[in-house]
Amino acid sequence: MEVTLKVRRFNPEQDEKPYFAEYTLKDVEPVDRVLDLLHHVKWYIDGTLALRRSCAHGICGSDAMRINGVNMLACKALVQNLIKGERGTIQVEPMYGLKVIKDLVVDMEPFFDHYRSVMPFLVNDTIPEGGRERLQTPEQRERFDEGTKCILCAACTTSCPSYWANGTYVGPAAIVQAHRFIFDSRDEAGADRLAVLSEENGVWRCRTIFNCTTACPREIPVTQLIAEVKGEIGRR
Amino acid sequence: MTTTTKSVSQRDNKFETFMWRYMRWSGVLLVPLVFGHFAIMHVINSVADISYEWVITQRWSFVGWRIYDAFLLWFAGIHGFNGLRIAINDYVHGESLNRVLNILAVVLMVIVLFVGTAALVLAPTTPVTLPTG
Repeated sequence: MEVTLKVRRFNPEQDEKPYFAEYTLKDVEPVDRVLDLLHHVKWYIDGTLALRRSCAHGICGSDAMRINGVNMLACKALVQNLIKGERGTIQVEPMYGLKVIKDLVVDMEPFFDHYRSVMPFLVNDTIPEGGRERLQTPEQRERFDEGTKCILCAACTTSCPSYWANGTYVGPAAIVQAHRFIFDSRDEAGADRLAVLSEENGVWRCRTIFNCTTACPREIPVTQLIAEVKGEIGRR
Repeated sequence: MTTTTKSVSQRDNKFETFMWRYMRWSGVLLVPLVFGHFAIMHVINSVADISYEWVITQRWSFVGWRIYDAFLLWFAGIHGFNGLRIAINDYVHGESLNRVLNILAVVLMVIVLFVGTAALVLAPTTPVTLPTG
C-alpha cells in the first residue's frame, strides 16, 4: 500500500503557525499501525518529528492523537481500517483543546489538574471489620468496573466540544475517574466528589454529544457514566 | 510540575443542578406546547387571518388559552435564556465581559417575561377599539 501521511506540525521556536507536512510511505502493510508510520517518518525521514509513545500496545495511553479527525491511539489505529484500496491519505494532528508543545506533543497539565480535582483515590479512614480487608461483593465491584479501564490518554476530554469551548470544564476523563470512586462501596468521599462535579464546571457542562464515547480506546461508555454521575447528584 | 488544588465546597451547587433538571423537564413540556401553538397559529388558522381581535375573541376570551400561553412563555423563556447563559459561560472567558453579558441576559429575560405576562393578565376579554388620531 502507498500511504500519504499528513502530519500537522508546529515548532513554536521556528514556525509562526502550524502547517501540514506530507510524507509518502511505500510498501505499507494493511496491518501496520499509524504509530508504525510515524516511527518510520521519525527514524528514517525526519528526526525532528515530535510525538509521545511509551508501551505502544494500547495500555499506557501516551500516543492519543487526532487521526482522520477522530481521537484514537496511534498504536491501535490500523492502516487497513483507515484506508480502503491500495493508496490513500491519513491525517494526523495533535489532540485539540490542549496547548501544543511541539508537533503531536501537547501540554497535558491542564488535563491532569482536572483529574486531581476529583480526588482520584480511595478515601476511607475507618478501620475495616477484623482490621484486614475491605470486603466487597462481585456486584459491588461490577458497579464501577467500566471506570477502572481508563488509561488517562485524554482522548475523551480532548474530543469534547464543551472542553474545546471552555477548558475550565472538568472533562469526561475526570468524571469517569470520579465515577470509579463515587460508586465504589468502600469509598467515603463520594459527597465531596459530587460537590466538585455539581459546580458550574462540573458535569453540567456535558451536553451529551457522545464524542467521548466514540473516542475512548478502552470502549468505556463515557457518556453513560457521566449520566450516572448527573443522576446521582440529582438524587441528593 | 505545578499542582493546582481546587477548593472543595461541602455543599452541592443546587442552582446548576436545578437548572439542569429544569432544562430537561421544560424541554419535554415544550414539545406539546410548541407543536400545539404551531398547529393553532400556523396550520389550523392562517397567519393572514390572525389579528388582535381574533386573539382576544377566539383565544384569550377563554382563560385556559391564557394559561396555555403563560406556560409556553415561561417554559420557553427561561429555557431559552438559560441556554443563552450556558452559551455565554462556554464561550466568553473574560470575567468582566462574562458578567456583563450574564446580567444583560437576565435583564432581557425579565423584560420578556414581564411584558408577556402583563399582556396575558391585563388583556381585555372583548376587543378594545383604540381611539384613532
